[in-house]
This record gives sequence, structure tokens and C-alpha cells, in this order.
Amino acid sequence: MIILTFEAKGTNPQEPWVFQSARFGRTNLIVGKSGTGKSRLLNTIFNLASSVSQGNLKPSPAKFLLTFDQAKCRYRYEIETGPHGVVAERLELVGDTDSEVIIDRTRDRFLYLGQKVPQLDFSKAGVSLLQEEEKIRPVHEGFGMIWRRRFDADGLEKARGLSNIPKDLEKACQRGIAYTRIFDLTLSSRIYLIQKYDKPLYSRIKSAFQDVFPEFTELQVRKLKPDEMPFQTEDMVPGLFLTEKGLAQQVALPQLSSGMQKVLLIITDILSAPHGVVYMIDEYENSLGVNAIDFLPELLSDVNTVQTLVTTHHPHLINAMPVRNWQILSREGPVVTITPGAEREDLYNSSAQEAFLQLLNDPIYDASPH
Amino acid sequence: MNFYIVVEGARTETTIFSDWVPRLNPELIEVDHPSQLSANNFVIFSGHGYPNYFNVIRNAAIDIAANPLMGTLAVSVDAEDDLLAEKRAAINEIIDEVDPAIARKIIIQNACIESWLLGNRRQVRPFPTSAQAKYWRAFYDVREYCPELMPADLEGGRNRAATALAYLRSAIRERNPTSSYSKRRPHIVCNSAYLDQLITRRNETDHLETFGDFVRCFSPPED
Repeated sequence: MIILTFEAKGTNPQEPWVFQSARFGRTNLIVGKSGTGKSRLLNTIFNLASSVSQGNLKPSPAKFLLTFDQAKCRYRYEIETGPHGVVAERLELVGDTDSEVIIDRTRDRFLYLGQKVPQLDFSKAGVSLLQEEEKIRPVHEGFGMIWRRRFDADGLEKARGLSNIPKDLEKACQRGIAYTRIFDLTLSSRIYLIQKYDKPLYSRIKSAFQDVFPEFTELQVRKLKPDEMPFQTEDMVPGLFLTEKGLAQQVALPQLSSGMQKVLLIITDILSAPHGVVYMIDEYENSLGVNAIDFLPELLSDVNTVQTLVTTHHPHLINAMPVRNWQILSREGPVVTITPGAEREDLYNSSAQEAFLQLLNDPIYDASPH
Repeated sequence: MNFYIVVEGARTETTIFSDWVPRLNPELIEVDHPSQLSANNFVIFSGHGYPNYFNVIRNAAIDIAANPLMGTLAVSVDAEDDLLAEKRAAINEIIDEVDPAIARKIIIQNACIESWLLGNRRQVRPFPTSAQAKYWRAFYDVREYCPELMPADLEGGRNRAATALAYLRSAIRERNPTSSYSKRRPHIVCNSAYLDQLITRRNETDHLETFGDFVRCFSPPED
């Protein structure tokens, strides 16, 4: 999936919020002052996609409209939700000259390709209810391909922890790794499976990590011994260990700095993401050194099969990313405006001032009067 | 005439200059970006403090060297505890490295913009009542002596700029407890009455010399 446009608004007059239309590209660096809604934008897109995909719509009154490409087709999807589930839903296959309406649903009727369908559970989106239908399957798959990596709260804690790998999952990986299915496993478990079943990818991950931290000569995953296990299980629990130049003893993943852990996690996410994943990173750069920040633009420029949405405040990341890849958020009351960097590119490129400083001096960044 | 103005901070000077420059010369119209400077425009670009503003000044000089129609490079930064001549020389050197022909006006705020703002005698009560305002009155009488020459409050652990800021905030609260001034919200000084008081002080005394540089820089050229 690649999200082309997105807009949303809350329809509860007591809690108004609006994301005006955003136009996304392949790589999107989401910038703006604190409090403009950067994290909320990612959360809104992610929550919409996961609730449409998994069929558990949130009972919050809101309208969403997005257009996206998926499996070489273009779609327009509109859904309005209320306290009792779907209020209206419309999915169109957009052609060059005309469109085909796949789902047209209100509280009074439910049409699939123009044919009446019995009214089904309003707490589920039609895309989820009819996911096995040929015309809907790719759309449903697309909504399930949004990966979100958060570093607030315990996001990193969970990723660097230890977990067992269920036997049936490892067996399934022998036929090829379903990377979306293993995304929520711990980093050690994911790299274990990749090292075992996708050696070329394992080499790429190792090499990309060493580009950032050349002091590490080896990255290995092995089955933990019983006395190393924090819990009892009959399943295999892998642990990730790194060899550092000049140190005789290997370093376990939890002993690495949080910056190194984040870098390894992001590299693993991006390089393992299959074609069509939308990858979101929020709160990435907190407490990181420059070397653990400026690797990202280069990594993203190497990957053209994944759409990325990354929030940041960091000057190095902002300066390193072409202005055309920015999405500049500004907020006035409940209304968030999203200005594509492409609209500012010519202007910013006409000055020798650093792009980040031009952003800080730009009235759209700081809506309060000079 | 255009001005490409580089100022010290992120908020204070950008806010105040945006209001004051057109009051000094109503023909000057602010634009959002250096590339939009065309005729009788000015743009204010924050230097984001010492020492980052040296990079911003250099890049502004590169912009003007590439497009001389952008006009005069006006730099207004704090002297803080440095000598005015040294700071001016450092800035001139950076601009000369890019192109010695660049037209420039360098204003060294002595010690900072709050030193200028203390020059409004109507803002500073002659007989303060609060303990804080009394402390400052006893420390240095800005109504009688030039605020630009006020020393640092070393006992309070403040340099000259921090001293001027603390004094000004105290004076504004003393004058009107519901009013306030901060580096991020300096709007209380953004009006003609405040600016006129400073100009009057400059015209009637030998005080506020570097504020005089600012007024001369942006006032319409005399025939």
C-alpha cells in the first residue's frame, strides 16, 4: 500500500479535530512544532487502518477519507463512524476515466458491486466483513500492512526483551518468513528467524548496522541456556549478542545503549519490510547521538518499496532529508494543516541558509505573529 | 531599499523588529523569505543565538552575494559581555570572507535588546513599591543613567544581558501587575508609544547609543 492522500475530522462537536488533506510521497518526514499533531496524525492513520483491517472499529464519531495505491490499483476509501459503528462507508476502484464502486454502505443499505448484501455487524468495516471477496482482498491486505514503531512509553523495552518463538510460527517460517506476522516479536526473535531462514537479509541487516557502528564485528543470535532464561518455556528463546572490537566478552542486546538498540530495530524493520508496507516511526530521536540519527535518510533512500512516515524535531535529520520529503504540520485550534515540503522546495533551495533554520523562520512553522 | 536582517534570538527580536521596523519606515514591508525581497522589503531571519548566528550571517552574505537585489545585510546581535568593536569586527570578517562589497549595517545591542527597552522612562517607576523593583532601582537607576551601560548583577549570578532582562521584567510587573514581558512573548513593547519613548530618550540624551544605530539603520534616508 502507498497512501496518497489522507484527511480526517472528528464529528463530535464537543471534541472537534481536523486533519486537512495531506498528500504523501514515498518518504515523508513529518515536522512541526510540538503540539501540532504529528504523533496524532500517525496514530489516526494507524488506528484507522488496523481497525478496518481487524474489523473492530472504534466507537468514536469521525470521518476519514484516503486514497491509496495497492496491488497496482488506485482506491478511494471513505468511512464515517459513530458511537454505534459504521455510519457510512464507500470504497471505489479509481480508473483513469471512471470509477467502480465496490462498497457503498449506509445504515439503511449495504451494496457490494451494486448488489444488495444483508446488513452485517456495524462494528466492523465492510472491507473486513467482505475480506475474502476477490475485489476486496487486496484492499484488506493493504490495510494490514501498516507498521508502526513507537519509542514512547515501553515501545523499546518490549522490542529488546526476550520471548519464545512458538513452534508453529517457526515451522511456518521454513516456507518463507511472513514479515508482517513477526513484526511484533522481540528483536532477538526476529533476527533469529531471519538469520536462520533469510541469510541474505541477515547479512544486509548486519552490514547496515556496522555502517553506523563499525566497532561491532559480529551479530549473533543463539538459543539461550536455561540459566539465562528469565522464564520457563519449552519453546526456543533466542538471545542476541554482539561482538565489539577490543572486548573479549560478547554484549547482550539489553546491554547496548538505547540508541544502538533503536538503530538495530529500525534497520531490521526497514530492511525486512515487504513491498507495500507503510512504516511509521514516532519519537525516534530522543536521547540519540548524531551518528544514531543521520543514518536514516541514507537507509530510506536505498529502499523504494516501503512508504515511510517519520516524525522528528531533529536538525540533523531535517537538514539531511530533501525538503520535498517533508510534511510540515501547523495547527490553529483543532484544525491541523499539512503542507507538503514540495511546496516549499523552490523557496528553500533559493537560499544558502540551512533548511532547518529556514523552517524555523517560516511563518507556516510558527503561526504566532513575529 | 531592501534589508536582509539577521537577529540574535529565535523570538524576541523577530517579534519586536517586525513591529518596529515599519514604524520607523512605513514604506518597508516584511516578507517571509529572503528570496521574496524585491523593493522596499525586509525579512527577519533568526540567528538562533551565539555562536550559531555566525553561520546564519555567513549564509545571508552568500544569499546577497548571489543576488545583490536582496539589499543590505543588517545584523543585530547582543554585545553581552564582549567589547562592541570586537564583535563588530568578527561579523565584518565573516561577511568580508564571502564578499567585501556586501552592503551592511551592524548593530551591536549593548548589552541586549532588553537594555534598550529599559530606556523607556515611563515604564520604570521612579518610586517603586515592590521589594524586587526596589532592589533594581538601588542596583542601577536606569531613569537617570544609560541602560546600555548598566553592569552585570554579579551578586545575583547574572551577566549583563540576564541583568537587563530581570530588571525589565520586574519594572513591567511593578508598573502593571497584570502585564508581563518574556523573551518568547515581548509583545508589550510592540507599539508606537514604547518605541517613541526610546527615540525621545535617545534624542534628548546621549543614552541608548546602539539603539540609535538601530533607528538610523531603518529610518528613511534623509534627503
